[in-house]
Parts: sequence; C-alpha cells; structure tokens
Amino acid sequence: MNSSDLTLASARLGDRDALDAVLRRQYPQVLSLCTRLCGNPADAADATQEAMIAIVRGLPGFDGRSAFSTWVYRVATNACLDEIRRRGRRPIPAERIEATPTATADLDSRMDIESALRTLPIEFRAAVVLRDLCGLDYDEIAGVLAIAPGTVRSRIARGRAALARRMGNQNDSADVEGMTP
Amino acid sequence: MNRHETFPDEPPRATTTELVASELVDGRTTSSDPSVLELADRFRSIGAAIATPTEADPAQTELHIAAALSSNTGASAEAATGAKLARLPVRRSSRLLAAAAVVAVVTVGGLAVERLANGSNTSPSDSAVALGAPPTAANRAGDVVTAAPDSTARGDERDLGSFADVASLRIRLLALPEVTPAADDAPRAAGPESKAVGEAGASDPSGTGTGCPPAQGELLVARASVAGRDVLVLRSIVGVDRILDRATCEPAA
Repeated sequence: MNSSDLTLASARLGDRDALDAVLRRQYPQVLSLCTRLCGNPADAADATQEAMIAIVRGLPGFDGRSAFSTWVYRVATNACLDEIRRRGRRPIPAERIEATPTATADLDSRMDIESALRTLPIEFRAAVVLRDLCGLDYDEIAGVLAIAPGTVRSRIARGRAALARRMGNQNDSADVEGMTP
Repeated sequence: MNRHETFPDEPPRATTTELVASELVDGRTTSSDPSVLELADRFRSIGAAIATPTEADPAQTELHIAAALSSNTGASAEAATGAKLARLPVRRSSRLLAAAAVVAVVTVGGLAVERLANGSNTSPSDSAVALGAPPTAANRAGDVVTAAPDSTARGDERDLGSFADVASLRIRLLALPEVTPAADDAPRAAGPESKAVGEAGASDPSGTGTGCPPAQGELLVARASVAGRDVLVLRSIVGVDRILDRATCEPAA
C-alpha cells in the first residue's frame, strides 16, 4: 500500500488531516472537470463545492471497486449534472453534428476550446471531457455516466468531430471519408 | 437517482469517419497518410487544450475544502454553510444580504449588519453561538437573529429560500462605531432602500431611497448621523463599508 492509499484509508476512518490531504489532491481535477462541464465559473464553483462535500460524505461508502479517481470523477460529474439541471441552464444546442461547409482552418480559433465545448450538448461534452481531460477509458466513462461503452465511443467520437468543426477543421470529415480504422 | 435519466436521448450511432477520428486521438491508428496524421494532430490539440488545468483560486479552494471538511463533523455544519455562502455569486449573495438587511433595518434601525456569520470570517466563539430567535423590536446591538427564508421567492431566489431554510441564516447586528441613528430614521418597515442594488421592486432606481447610487453588490444597511451630517452606510458583499454623505453622495470624511 503506497502513501496515497494509506492517506485515503485514514481519511475513510475519519482522520481529518488525511481527509484534508485527499481533498486537496483531488481538488484541481474536480474543478477542471466542473469548469468544462458547467461552462461558467459560478456554476463550476457551486458544483465543485457540492462535489467536495459529496466526496466527504460518500467516502465511507467507497468500496474500492473502481479507482478512487474514477469514483471522484463520478461524484463530480453527477454534481455538475445536478447543478445544470437545478439551474435550468441547458447548454446551447449544438449545430447538428454533420459535415459543414468548408472554411479556412484558423489556428487561433483552436484556442477557444471553452467556447466550443459550451456549444456541445451535455451528454457529448461530458463524454469528451471525461476522456480528454480526465483520461478515463471507455469502460470507466461508461461507469461514470451509466451508459453502454458503445454509446461512450459514439458520444466521444461525435463530440470530438463537432468540436473540430466548431474550431474550423471543417475538412476533417472529407479528409477521412471512406477510410477504415 | 437513476443516472440514465441524465441522458434520455441516445445519439445516433457514430459514422465510420467519426470513429476513425476518435481512434486517431486515442493513438490507435497505424496510418502513415499525411492527411490522416494532420487530422490526428488537430484532434490531439483539441484534447490537449481541454486537458489544460483550470487555475484554482486559492481563497475559493480553502473555502471549498473547509466546507467539505465541516460537512463531515455535523457540529460545524454552519461553517460549511458560511463557506458556501461566502462564495455565492454576487447576484445571489446580494439577495441574501438584502433579506438580512431588511431584518436589520426593521429591527434596530441605525444599526448595521456586521456580517453573515460563517466559518470563513467568524471566530470560533461566534460559531458556537446558538442560533438566534427571529428578530423583534427588542433586539439590540450584538444580538444574533435568524433571518426567515423568503417564501415568496421565485426562480433562483427559491434556491436561496431553501438554502436559508436549511442553514438558518444568521446575521449579527452590531452598532457601527461613531455612527448613531439619525433623528428622522426611526425603525421602519422594509422599504425600497432595503433592497439589493437593482433588485426588482425597488422604487428608487438608486436603491438607497436618496438618489445616491450604490456600487454593484452594495446594500444600504443604515441611514445615520455622523458629526451632525446625515450619512448612508453601504456595505458590499465582502463586508466593506462605504459611508456617503446623503447631501452630496460623496464619501463622508
């Protein structure tokens, strides 16, 4: 058992210092996830706090069947989804995820990832963020979002494709049309 | 809660193109086609940008962690409440403070709301103070009172109502040093001057009842007399006071 595991075990037993350490270690990831999912700092702050509280309250029930980080992401994702639902702030509907007319790729536009993310429906945004921000694999994401792994793959793929188009990579689909994996 | 309810609409199946694009990012392609490699770079750049960490505000981090830790002890639940309250967005905090200010003005006139009792800016002794009873005309400086939730709240305000209901929002009333109630400022019913800046229902656009415009997020907490001059005491959500001369709307020296 490494030091992180020991700290986590102590935290589960109620060691306040250990709990503090666990929270501080997870905080940056939770905040980043919430920022990307919620789409604005205020909602992200609320969701982050709710997630941190949920982590503390749920820690005794963490059964270790998944990695702790995966469990944290699940808690944080749920906090974000609850926040979005509670506020009634649905994301702006994305354009249909289909090929759009060709436009000049603009490298600068790639920097506006946050804006592009906000245009994605939450189901696509969550899948992409959990994969590309959190580094979860498809099975883990399926567990977090309670959907089938195949659906995860679909959402990630379509979400990325939509992001690429939103950011000026409209030629992507044409470039790879007809290719096989 | 059934998380399947979160995503009721399953998207159509991904096209082959989209799956190829996805797998490129995941490093599964063995293609040497330049156009494919370029596409992979583009997707990777997106992934890298998404993965850029969000910079955490140190103060907010401390509040969040304090709130979470407090939620584990039960006895310090109010600290968690206070910590959450302390970083509420300005608009919602203003409404909470508006409710508190109403109580303060009605109860003790010329006294000011010192602060919302919370774990971040309250001493341990304050945290130990039992919740106060609803305010009455007999309240005096230093009393701890409980602001009742607003049952008429709508929209986001409803959140505040339930939040206050659970948290039993406390406010502490303290006399401002060197400030005494103005002669014409007897305790009065909540008027438009008690409302948050820009809050609906405020008949005076300035929000002060005098024409002196508060800054964003400020509330009028008292009208008083200082050295013979009528002044307005405005308090921001972070607890900073401004005292304006009612005649000139300029800061009182």
